[in-house]
Amino acid sequence: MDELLAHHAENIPITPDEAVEAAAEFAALPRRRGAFLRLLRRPGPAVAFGYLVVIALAAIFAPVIAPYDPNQIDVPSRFAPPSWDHLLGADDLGRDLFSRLLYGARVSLTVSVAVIVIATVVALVVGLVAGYSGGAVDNVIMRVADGGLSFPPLVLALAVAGILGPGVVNVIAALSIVFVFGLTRLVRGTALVVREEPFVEASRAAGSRTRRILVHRVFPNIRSPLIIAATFGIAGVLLAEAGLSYLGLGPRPPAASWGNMLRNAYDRGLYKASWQLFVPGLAIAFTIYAFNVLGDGLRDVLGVGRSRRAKRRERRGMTTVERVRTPPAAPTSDDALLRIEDLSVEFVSERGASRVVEGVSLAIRPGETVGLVGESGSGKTVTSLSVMRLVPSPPGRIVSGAIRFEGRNLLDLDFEAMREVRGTGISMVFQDPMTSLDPSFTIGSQLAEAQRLHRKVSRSAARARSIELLDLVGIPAPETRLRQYPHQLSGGLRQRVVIAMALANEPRLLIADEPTTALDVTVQAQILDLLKRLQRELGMAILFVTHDLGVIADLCDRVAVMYAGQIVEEAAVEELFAHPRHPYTAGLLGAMPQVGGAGERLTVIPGQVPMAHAMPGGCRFADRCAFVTDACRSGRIDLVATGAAAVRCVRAGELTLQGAR
Amino acid sequence: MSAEPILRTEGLTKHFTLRGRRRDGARPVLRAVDGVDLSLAPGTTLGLVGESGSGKSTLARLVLRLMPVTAGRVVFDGDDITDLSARDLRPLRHGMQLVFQDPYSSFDPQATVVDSVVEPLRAQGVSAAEARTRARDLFDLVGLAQDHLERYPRELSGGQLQRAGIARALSTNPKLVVMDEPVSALDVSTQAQVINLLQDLQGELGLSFLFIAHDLAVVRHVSDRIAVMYLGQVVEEGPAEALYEHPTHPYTQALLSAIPVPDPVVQRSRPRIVLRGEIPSPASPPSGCRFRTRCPFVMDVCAEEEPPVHESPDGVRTRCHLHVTGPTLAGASVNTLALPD
Repeated sequence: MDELLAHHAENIPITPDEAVEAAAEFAALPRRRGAFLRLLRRPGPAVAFGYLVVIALAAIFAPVIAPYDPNQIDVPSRFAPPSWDHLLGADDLGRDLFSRLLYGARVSLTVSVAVIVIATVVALVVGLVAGYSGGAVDNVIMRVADGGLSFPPLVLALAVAGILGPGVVNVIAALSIVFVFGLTRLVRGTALVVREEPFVEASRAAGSRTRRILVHRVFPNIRSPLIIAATFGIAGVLLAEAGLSYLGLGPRPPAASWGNMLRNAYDRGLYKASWQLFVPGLAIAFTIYAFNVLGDGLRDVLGVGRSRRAKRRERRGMTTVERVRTPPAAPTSDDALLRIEDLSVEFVSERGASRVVEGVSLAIRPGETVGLVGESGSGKTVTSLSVMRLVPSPPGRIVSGAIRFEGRNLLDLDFEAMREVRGTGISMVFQDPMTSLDPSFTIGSQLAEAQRLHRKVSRSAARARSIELLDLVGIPAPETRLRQYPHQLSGGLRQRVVIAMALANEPRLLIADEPTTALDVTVQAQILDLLKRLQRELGMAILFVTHDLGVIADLCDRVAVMYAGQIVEEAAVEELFAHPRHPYTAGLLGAMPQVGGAGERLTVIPGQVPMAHAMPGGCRFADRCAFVTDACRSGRIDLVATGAAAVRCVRAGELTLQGAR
Repeated sequence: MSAEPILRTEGLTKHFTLRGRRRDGARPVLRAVDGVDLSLAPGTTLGLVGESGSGKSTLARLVLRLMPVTAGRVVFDGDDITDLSARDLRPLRHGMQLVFQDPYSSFDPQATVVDSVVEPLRAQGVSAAEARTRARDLFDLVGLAQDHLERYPRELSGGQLQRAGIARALSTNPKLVVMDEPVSALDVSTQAQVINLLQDLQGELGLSFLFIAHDLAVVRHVSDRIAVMYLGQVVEEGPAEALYEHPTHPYTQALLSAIPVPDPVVQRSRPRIVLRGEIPSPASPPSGCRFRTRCPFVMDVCAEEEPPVHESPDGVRTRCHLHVTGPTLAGASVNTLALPD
């Protein structure tokens, strides 16, 4: 809904003049050099950059370096193999290949850089006008660009170059035309996204002129994707230029370019000296590879999109376990359905490992609803994901503990065994129902799939069970809904479908991670009622992860409060709200505005949650606590259990804290 | 309300024309805001609550004239700004500012925090040096350390950045600040800090707030008057306390009932009204009363006629048939009605 409205923001037409002026103003702005230095600190891009600098220098100083005139014919040296006289040998006319390669680099690099500069500048202006103006102007520009992109680039370049005739300038013109379309699309697409950003709206609300918004808000945010695309683009131009030269549309012979050297080696030397093909061939290949490595590096450093390498690295399906201490021994008799013991989880980044969950222990009995409450960064979601081994590895890894479900330690299972537990033993419902739904399949097929993943079910049995499940979660007219796609349902109905999928294989434990946070309050009330009813009827246990104490009060039997990666208090729900024993719990209760308590000042917990990589020693809440003493600041502070409750506070015995009002 | 209101809307309406065609060939129209009358007294807070799709965010952008108005009027501090162009609005912008929901997306990730904070000042032609001095004062005012000025948005926590967002809105000494869900993206403890800050600032600077939120507990906490929106219309508007203690519209009653109270004893013992279904699309609102498809008290007349606005002596305006026909509440709380099964 709000997204829908956002796209109706006003169009502010800008003229090409304005775009050009704004581009010039932006180009003159001072900027940071940090990104470039970070790029060079990476080995791959650093080597690639070094290689390109060498090639560029060689091209610039070719007249000084080259041992021969590149066009000097010397028949006796015909097809001379590499030697001290001719470092890379000589071609069919006895011309020195090393010298020709150097002079060829001048052509190839000049053409590539010139084309990218021209195409980028044109794309920036045209794309910005299109993206920022919208409407008919945008339509015309984009249809032309679509047309240009629908031809294979080399074919289009051939056609244009064919019309213009051979020669370096004509090749630059032809390739500029070819490469401008893609870049224009990129600029326009990015501009469309950026102009809908709230920070651009903030600039408009501030009363800034369009020109200022373009220079200071839109351009800087287009810059990174454009630099990356241009870097990859150079590689493309280089290849296309070689192709055109090869086909005789490049610089006129005898002038050397990498493309026509390739052609010459092919035509004259294929049978006599086929190694000659490798001279320009490898030069082209290495240079293209270098630009690609550089582009990949830029993508990582500038944080736009993710490189293929980064994508490959993540999501191997199961969180890895690398214990630094031995897990606690299994209890001999256990009435718990799920028992998390001493769970610690680390995230590894370039800055080192930070421990986001530290020594968490929590038990859930069959049929019980346990709330796990905490603010963002408290580790509540990582804890719940760890139970399913769904924390992506890397960067995450479990470094200590045991998670026993029905007596089996889930941290010892292999992928197949874990897959079996997911869905049949434990199911999970997330905040955004679209995490669990595939937009391109019907509700019916996804419900059937959820059943068939774990056992053989006939088509008709699956359908009957799907209807039963939708009925169970209170969706009217289930037969009709089976044929619908997720986008045809409202947010509340989608979440009901996800709950139905989670229930498909009758799990004993349902983990619900903020399942109502994205919903409106009236719909949230419906879903909470549904969960309560399902639990009564099916008797499954629920681990309910949330930041909302109101929801906890409504739904849970027991509650654990997390702060900065640790459980700081655990108690029966009435007890926790009436008599909180940890100052953080009391602080949270006091900070909630309540319908009855208008006008009163809210109790504030001062300060911020400490960062995961800079956890203070002693109590992690000490810096924000009103009751702090010296004893709080040192040593390890344990979660001390008394009866069914537990608290991690050295002063728990002496403090009397204010509960829910 | 003797003083001239700082902000007044009369029949304010915004329709968006959507892509595609309906069966009768006309373009579908989304009635985001449909005839809203509001008035905000200087130095007070008007809370605006509603679920997604109620049009509250669109209303915020209309009163700031960040988008053109389809019909009706917006009067800001005595000036009719309904039809002013972007150029003519610019000199007035210093008087009205906006605070956004998500602090991270409302700050340019490529610019330092101070660069964004001084933007409203710079747009008014204030010199860079002067703007910077003012930014230091503003950071003191909202409780941020000076060294946060030169940081980038991602280096600040959500609460800190929202304080910077408030500093940005206050930089030009505005009379009116529109807050679009200013604390919904924040954690409970941070949220309390920001709410207290806003209340302090209002007391010190005499600001007027249009405070938009979906969380009724937050709105109740900060508002003098509250307007409840449903499908582009204000269905109930009145003094905050009256509205919470004696809701006169069934939707207000249901909204209040739906907020879970953070006290298990209270929460589990109180009667609850769980509405059926969800808010219909504003592109095809129900005939008559827009709430009738989900209303527990729905009557035949509700589908046929738009409910008239009923105004009670204590200043509560309600758009509901219950007050004029049927049980004829005539301004009494809907809580006095037994819920039908």
